[in-house]
Amino acid sequence: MAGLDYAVRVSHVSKTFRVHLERNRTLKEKLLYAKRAKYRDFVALSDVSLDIRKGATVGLLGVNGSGKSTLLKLISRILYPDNGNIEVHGRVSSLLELGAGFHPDFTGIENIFLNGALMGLAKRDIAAKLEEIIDFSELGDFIREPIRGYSSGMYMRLAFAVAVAVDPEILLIDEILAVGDAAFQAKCMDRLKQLQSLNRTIVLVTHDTGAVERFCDTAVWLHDSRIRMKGDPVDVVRTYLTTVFKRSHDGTNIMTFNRTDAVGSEVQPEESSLTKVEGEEESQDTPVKIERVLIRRADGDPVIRCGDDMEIIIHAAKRFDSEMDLDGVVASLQIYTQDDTLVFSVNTLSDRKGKIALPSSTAEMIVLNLKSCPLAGGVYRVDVRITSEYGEPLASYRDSSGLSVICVEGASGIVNMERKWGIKHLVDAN
Amino acid sequence: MREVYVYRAMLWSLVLSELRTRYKGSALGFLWTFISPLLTLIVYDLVFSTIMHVKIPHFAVFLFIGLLGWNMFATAVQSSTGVIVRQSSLVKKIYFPREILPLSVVGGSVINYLLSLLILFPFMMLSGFVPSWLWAYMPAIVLMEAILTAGFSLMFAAINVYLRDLEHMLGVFLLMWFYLTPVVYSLSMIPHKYAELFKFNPVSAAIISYQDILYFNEPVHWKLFLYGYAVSIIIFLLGMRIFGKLNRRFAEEV
Repeated sequence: MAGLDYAVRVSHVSKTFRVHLERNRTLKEKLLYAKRAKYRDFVALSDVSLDIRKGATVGLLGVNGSGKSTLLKLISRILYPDNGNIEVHGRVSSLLELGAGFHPDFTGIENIFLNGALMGLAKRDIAAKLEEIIDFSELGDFIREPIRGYSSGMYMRLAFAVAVAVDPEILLIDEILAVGDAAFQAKCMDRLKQLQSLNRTIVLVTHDTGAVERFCDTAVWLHDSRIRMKGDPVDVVRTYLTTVFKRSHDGTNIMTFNRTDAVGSEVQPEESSLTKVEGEEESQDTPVKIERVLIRRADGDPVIRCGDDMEIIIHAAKRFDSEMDLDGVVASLQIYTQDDTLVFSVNTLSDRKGKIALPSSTAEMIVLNLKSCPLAGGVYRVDVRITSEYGEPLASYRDSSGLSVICVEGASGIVNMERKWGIKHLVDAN
Repeated sequence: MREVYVYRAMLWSLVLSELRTRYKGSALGFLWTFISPLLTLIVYDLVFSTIMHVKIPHFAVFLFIGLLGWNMFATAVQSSTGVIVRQSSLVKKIYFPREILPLSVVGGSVINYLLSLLILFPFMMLSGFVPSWLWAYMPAIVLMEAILTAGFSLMFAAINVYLRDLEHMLGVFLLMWFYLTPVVYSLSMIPHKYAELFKFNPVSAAIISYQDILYFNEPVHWKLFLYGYAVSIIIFLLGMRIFGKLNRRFAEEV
């Protein structure tokens, strides 16, 4: 049967959310305002069709509010579509939100049983895998503690350990791996690769486009509630990044409720901001204030491609309320990958530039010019720090997606080396 | 319904966690399962037999039998009504058959009832009642009441998501229902022309059956018993139907 080759078939699915402006939940209000219920419809998905083969690994890309999470929730049957049809063949295990299906008062072990039960597993099945789950989570003695004291990373460890241990036929993951530390993330990726080799189906929502390129065999780009592009991950990621960053700098990425073509965006309060997250200062009560850090091409174009000359502009000034005497400071810059690998670190002292004067007016700024960007395509974190000459921290600034490099030739990894392919002939000795 | 069976492990673990967390943090803990009906019993006994002179011999026993039966129904219905909203974090984040939530409340309530029999029976024997073969009817009556309770619980739980008033109205509604059910009085005390009317109340069928076998030491009245089962099953199917219709938008509404 042809249908059995697919794990998930989504056909012509639409989902509209009703966003209540003023909710009439009580009887009185329902009776009084029945005629003028105050809500607006927002289209989260509009005529989306997607077939996922058994054993495929699919990466869902898209800016916040494009409908990715809604699609995962529809596949996992938390939400039901308004129109269209979704078929799912096989047992689904989903990691959609942190802490879903955990009881804060129960210990880690009790929560493993609870979480397993929530996936429809019998107690003895979970008991048989308990050891494996605890080992994988690396939670040690914490496993016997109530999980209300867990950090988000620890929650994620437990949730992931349970989700993969139940041997799901279809695994849905929504961007929660990001809270784990680098080592655990690597371990999760290994486990996912193992599931891949067992022909399990994986659907992954992530903003780590590098992971999509390395790990997925199909990428799907959702934009404004529709599938904009799907196919080879490298192609999709490249087009996605180019388009999104262009739009972000043009300011056309601002989410709107009433798109005139009746295609709305998924509205979640925490997401209704600019999609390009600005960096921010890590602390407000420091003597020096870093207003913002602007990274752009030396000619002023906001889109950076491999090999471009870059200009990093640091707007920093002494805080008005600071009494400190600052005659000279040391500025430093670090670039990290999304999984916290340091790529590049530099400061004015090590560059024998010594102390620099802090800008005294808004017209002045610290500028760092970097020649021909050697980074491979991807999104990098940028940290900027200002310290005194003795290393005393004065201000620090972090932009978790501060630097996006677009690599048209399509090298992946961290660096983009200059290269030339060719064929070499051995010179015959005779 | 088949899916509920697949998820029975979840149903069971929710029942247990419900029972476990109910008295968490209180000094007497699980003992409250026994203490609170006893305290209620003392209050009602004081009011109805000492002050109002209800002429039922061993009134405390009569009252206790009805009160426990009523509590199983009323606490489950009251608590189920808000259960979808209370458990919104589960409803919004993971998939499972939503019926599990009200059903787990009903399950907890039934278990509580069975545990409270552990004091009802000694209490009866201390008052001079002797165990009888008629007590073997108990499981059939408990099952009937559980089906009825589940029906109302499913219905109210689903409606409450869209109409939150229900939870508040229910308190008064259940109080009225309580007095329309022969718990603090016996069926024979009702004026004859209304007696048949009272039997329409499906909760009465269960309560009267408990009283028949435990207090009056008589077999159940078959007509009433079968009527009770028929109504319970109809209410249950209706509850499943309504719940099934309304549950598609739960995740968006809570």
